[in-house]
Amino acid sequence: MRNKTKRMLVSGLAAATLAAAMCCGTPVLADEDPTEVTLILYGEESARMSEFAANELHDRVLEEINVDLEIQYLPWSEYAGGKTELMLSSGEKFVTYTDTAFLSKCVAKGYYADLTDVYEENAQDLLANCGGEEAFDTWRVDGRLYALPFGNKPNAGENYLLMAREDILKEVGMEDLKTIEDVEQFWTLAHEKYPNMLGLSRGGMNPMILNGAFDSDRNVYRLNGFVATDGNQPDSGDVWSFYESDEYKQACEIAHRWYEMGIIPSYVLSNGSQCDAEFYNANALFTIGASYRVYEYQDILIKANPNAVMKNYYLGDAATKPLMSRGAYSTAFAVSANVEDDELAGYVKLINLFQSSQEWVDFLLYGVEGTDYTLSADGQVEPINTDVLVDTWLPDNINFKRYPTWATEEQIATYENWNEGCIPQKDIGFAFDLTPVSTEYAQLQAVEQEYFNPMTSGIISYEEGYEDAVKKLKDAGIDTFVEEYQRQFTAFKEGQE
Amino acid sequence: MKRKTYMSDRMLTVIFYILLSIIALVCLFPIIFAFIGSLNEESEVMMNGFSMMPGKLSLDTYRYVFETQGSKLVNAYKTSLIVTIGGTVLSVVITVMYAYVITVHDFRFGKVLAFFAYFTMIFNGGMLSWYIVTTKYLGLKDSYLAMMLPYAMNVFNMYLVRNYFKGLPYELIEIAEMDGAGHFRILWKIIAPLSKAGIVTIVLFYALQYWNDFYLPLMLINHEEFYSIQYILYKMMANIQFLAANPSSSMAAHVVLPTQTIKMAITCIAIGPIILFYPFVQKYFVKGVTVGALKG
Repeated sequence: MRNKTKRMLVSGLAAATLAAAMCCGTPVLADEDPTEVTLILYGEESARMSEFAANELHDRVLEEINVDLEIQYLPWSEYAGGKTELMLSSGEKFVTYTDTAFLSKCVAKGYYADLTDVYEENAQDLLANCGGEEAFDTWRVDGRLYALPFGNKPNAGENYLLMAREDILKEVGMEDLKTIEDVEQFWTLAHEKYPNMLGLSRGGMNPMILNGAFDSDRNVYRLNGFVATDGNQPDSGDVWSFYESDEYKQACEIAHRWYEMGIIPSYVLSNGSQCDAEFYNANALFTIGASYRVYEYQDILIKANPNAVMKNYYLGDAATKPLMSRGAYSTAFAVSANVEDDELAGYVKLINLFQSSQEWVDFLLYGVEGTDYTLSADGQVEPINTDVLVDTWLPDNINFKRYPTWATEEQIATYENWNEGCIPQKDIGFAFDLTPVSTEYAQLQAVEQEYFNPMTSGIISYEEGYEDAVKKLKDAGIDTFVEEYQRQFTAFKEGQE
Repeated sequence: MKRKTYMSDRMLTVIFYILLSIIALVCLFPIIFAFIGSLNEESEVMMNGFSMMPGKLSLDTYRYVFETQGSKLVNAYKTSLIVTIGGTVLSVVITVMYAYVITVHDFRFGKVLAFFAYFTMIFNGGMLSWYIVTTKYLGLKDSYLAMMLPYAMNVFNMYLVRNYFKGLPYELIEIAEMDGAGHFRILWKIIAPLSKAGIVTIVLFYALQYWNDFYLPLMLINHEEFYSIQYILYKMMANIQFLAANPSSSMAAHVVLPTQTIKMAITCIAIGPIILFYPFVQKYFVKGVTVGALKG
């Protein structure tokens, strides 16, 4: 009797566990037509986006290319790692965006599908509207294509520009910011008028905004945080350690002065979200610039202050140190490796569709005309619904650009001609393989955060912090890292020749 | 007989009260700060930062959060409640039964089961194999069960209950067996009622674990209808941290952050139920942990 009870108890437990496990497994029905596609995006999904993705967008994609689209959102922390990498390594089928560093890692591990044989047939609109074969070359490894460039916007000098409040600049009687002295004079005048207003805010201090103003012949291009090259020497493969350079010393000296003047807030490193909040509340003068960010930021700022106007400034002479462009893409979409054959074609068709016409870009960005937005007589968008659908930066394409109602003719002309006179970045098509120096890289990042970031932001002066910081940098293996970078970059340049 | 109270005892008691009050204040401060922060006006926070004594208290942030994300938050609350209640019941039943099986002497596989449980405390298969087994073989994805079954039995909690059971006189089981009681009757009619403090302790442990969990939703939930309140909070904080860690990255420039007071309001909304629930089970919680530990 007792044995029977025990057996019942044990088998009961086992059966309950098994039944629970089985009942929650959703059976996947074989459904060859239409193609099921999962698109992973990052950030927050607005209420309207949830509804839009499940209904209007889903139905229209299904009707147009016979793809059954599902959009899923992950937190930004999972981008290029975390759950994204877990999903790639476990063989899940999806498409998401990537960057050159993550692409190189994923291709080495076999996580991405090879798109070479399917893109010509299924991505004609991307080829036509997103920068042509040149843009596709960035996403090739050993001649094979692993991601589809997406978007098309003039972006020369991205993160190498200072964006400032043009309305206040004019208010204090100034016209332009061309030098470090101009910036300091603007701050002094603006600070007298608006003592509570912050200086440099969102994004903190980036030494590259000072590139044009460095007393140096080199047009410094940072290949990554630690390695730089001369952008004006397209054929040279020479790289050097950025933190040990004279340009970095000059950047630190300027940053420290700005910190002491109050241009850089004391909490720039410790409370970045406060800096962001101040910026979005139109209570800051400067941020790190990029051509397209004028539209992203001013759109937010005018809600707090309708007079706010943002403009990009290059602190230097573009004739001697021209702005560098990485290519016109916003991002690139890569497909997980388990997606094959006809299914892969469906994935490529979907990405292609999103950049195929003005109608589709409008649909993704603004939703349904009449429900989510209306168009004015001059083609400008007047939103009805304020919820964000797909992030504005993602499908941004100069061929299908709709300017906001507040954009002036001057702003539009500046944006459309932004890339004139720029030079291409030297590393287009190059993806550094971190594997041989992954340990050094992890250690260098820790040293950068602890020792160099306070100097970069001007909190610690160069004289005070450099000696200790560079010793730590050496201990962490900067020489090995630069040597490996040099080896791979030289091989890349030789291959180009 | 009246016990004599010494002056030194009274002094010591006063010192203890003062010390405990300071520690309690230190623990309470972040919660009070978050609550008052959520009642600050956004414009005032922008100008002067957070203040424990704001010029004006405002419910605007809560109004905004519920107006814009109301349906999401209500749904997330529902998910968190279903998972917490369902998961806690499931876990407590499995844990108590498992602990009973390895406590009673005459179960043939008792020792093997004890070893299986213990083994998982030392070794595990790693994240990738766990993810593949959970999602591909068990199909645990986008369902309430996906947020319960992986946590169905916590080995630490099981040993806590086992230790509690071991503290009871074994003769109780033997006498019940002699009187003809089966194992189910012994467990639910004799052992469980005598172990109320231990079981309530693991109820609290499990309830806290399920309520506070954001890891399983992150790993196994892709559809918004199954988002829990903690996962919504985690997503918000993860976006902020990503920006803090990569201030200059091109992707970070695209992260849109919630305002300061919204962060505080969502934090208060997420921790509210636990704060209300905790005082009712606190006495069992302290007793259960102490007894379990002493008998170990």
